[in-house]
Amino acid sequence: MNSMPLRLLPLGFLLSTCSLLTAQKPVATVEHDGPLNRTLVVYDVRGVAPLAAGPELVLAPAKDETDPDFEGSPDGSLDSLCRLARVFVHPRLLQGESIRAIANSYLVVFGRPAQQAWIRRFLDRQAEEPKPQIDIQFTIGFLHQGANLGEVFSEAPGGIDAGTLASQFAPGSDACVFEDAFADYVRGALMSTEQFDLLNAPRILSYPATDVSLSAITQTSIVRDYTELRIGGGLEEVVIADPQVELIHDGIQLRGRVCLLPEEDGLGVDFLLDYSELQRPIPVVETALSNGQIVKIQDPELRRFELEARARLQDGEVLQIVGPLTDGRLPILWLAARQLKLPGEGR
Amino acid sequence: MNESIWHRVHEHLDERVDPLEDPLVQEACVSDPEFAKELVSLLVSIDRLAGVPVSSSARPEAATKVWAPVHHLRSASISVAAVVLLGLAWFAFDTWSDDRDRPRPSSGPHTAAFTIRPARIDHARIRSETWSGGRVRGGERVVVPREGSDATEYWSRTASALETRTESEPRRLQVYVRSMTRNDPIR
Repeated sequence: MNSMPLRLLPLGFLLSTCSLLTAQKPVATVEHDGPLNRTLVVYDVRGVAPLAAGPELVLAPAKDETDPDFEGSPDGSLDSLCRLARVFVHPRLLQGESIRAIANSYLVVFGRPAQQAWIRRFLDRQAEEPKPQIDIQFTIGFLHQGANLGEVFSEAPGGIDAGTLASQFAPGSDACVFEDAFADYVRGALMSTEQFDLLNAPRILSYPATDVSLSAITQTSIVRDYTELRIGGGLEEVVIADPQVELIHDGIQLRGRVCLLPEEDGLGVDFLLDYSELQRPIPVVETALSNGQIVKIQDPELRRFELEARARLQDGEVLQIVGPLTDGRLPILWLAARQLKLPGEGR
Repeated sequence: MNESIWHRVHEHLDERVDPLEDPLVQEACVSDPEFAKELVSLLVSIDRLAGVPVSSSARPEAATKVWAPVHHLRSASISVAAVVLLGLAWFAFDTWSDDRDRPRPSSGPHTAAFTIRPARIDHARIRSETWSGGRVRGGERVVVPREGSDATEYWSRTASALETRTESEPRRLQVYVRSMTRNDPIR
């Protein structure tokens, strides 16, 4: 301070202010001169999105079954950010590289310089103000086998070949992405046929790197079986049929998180969706007790579709994933993520 | 080895020297991530108690004097770069905005040029099954990128399982079909 001439004070103030606006500052760094030049950097992430939401909103389990290396932080409040960083960091983590949350305030990253640079940009994006809201929409449907998709998509817009589009709905086809408007056309064309059932289209608004969940479950009681109770003995024996009631849960459960990626307009989505549908009316089967009495039991048919996906999308893109063929039906899921801009923002 | 390293760490802390500056501690951090995690936890807890950043709190007086100008120089460089980048960003945004405001062709379904692109999936597992009559029928697909591939090139490994099982005989039949496909651009 003593060495700074007075005339430079305004410039110093401006530069100090600018330096506050730059990337998340590491708290500590350990240099390593290995062949990959890896470093251990501790980032203070107290100003980043999920902490602002409060730990009471964090619903994800601390242990991730799909990622054995992921341990999570003790109280779970940093898990979302840590997990997203692990999933989407570019270049990918190699053996020995890691991203961990500690002390509920810090992210410890052991990685290459390119990864550290990515993490800084990633943290900056999550801390952007005002925080953008992200509109996430899932659409779930079943396509029955035998649909003539070449005909259904015969008027596909934008120069898309009907055969190429139809091939995206073959069992085992790769996941693909469409523009938002084109996905509307695809869904509309499919819904015009009798071979497509639109099942559900849940929608969630989320802040970046914050856990979101949605659950809409119906409970249905069914008589699954009867247990015979014998009372008395000899000629006075009475058989009572005691119904065994079972509770069936069906509906949708959705849990996940979305983040802003450093790449332009990039969104990272990490979701687990569980959809089940009880066929109604529930088929009834007649059966006889040991005394010849006829009773009716219910034999429910439950269709279940589960998706776990971690993918990168551009703002306004729609991801399409086709599931395995089951009982002549092909489950199809569309996932759209879009940043919502306030009026006047981003013109 | 671990005990001797921790001994060194405590010696450094007693002398108010940043243990992370010791090459032996650095080497231990790199070779043993668990040690690194514990060390950083310790340093962070000290930092939180002291209320000052780790990298300066544990530094001796002499080192701080050397460090301070370098630190200010780095801050100033970053700040100058930030000002230049802000200027460039403003220029780019202004140019982009002008371009964005230009009239565009209608985005109606019959005039827009659409594309079908391969999805950039880091991991996907899709399971579909039907339960009825005490049996389950269904399958599962797993899509993961090729090992070691970067985000710019996506390969997918698909494992499909066709499964039929009953309540009394779980997993009576299980068939796996595995394939490796590259997500080439579709058109």
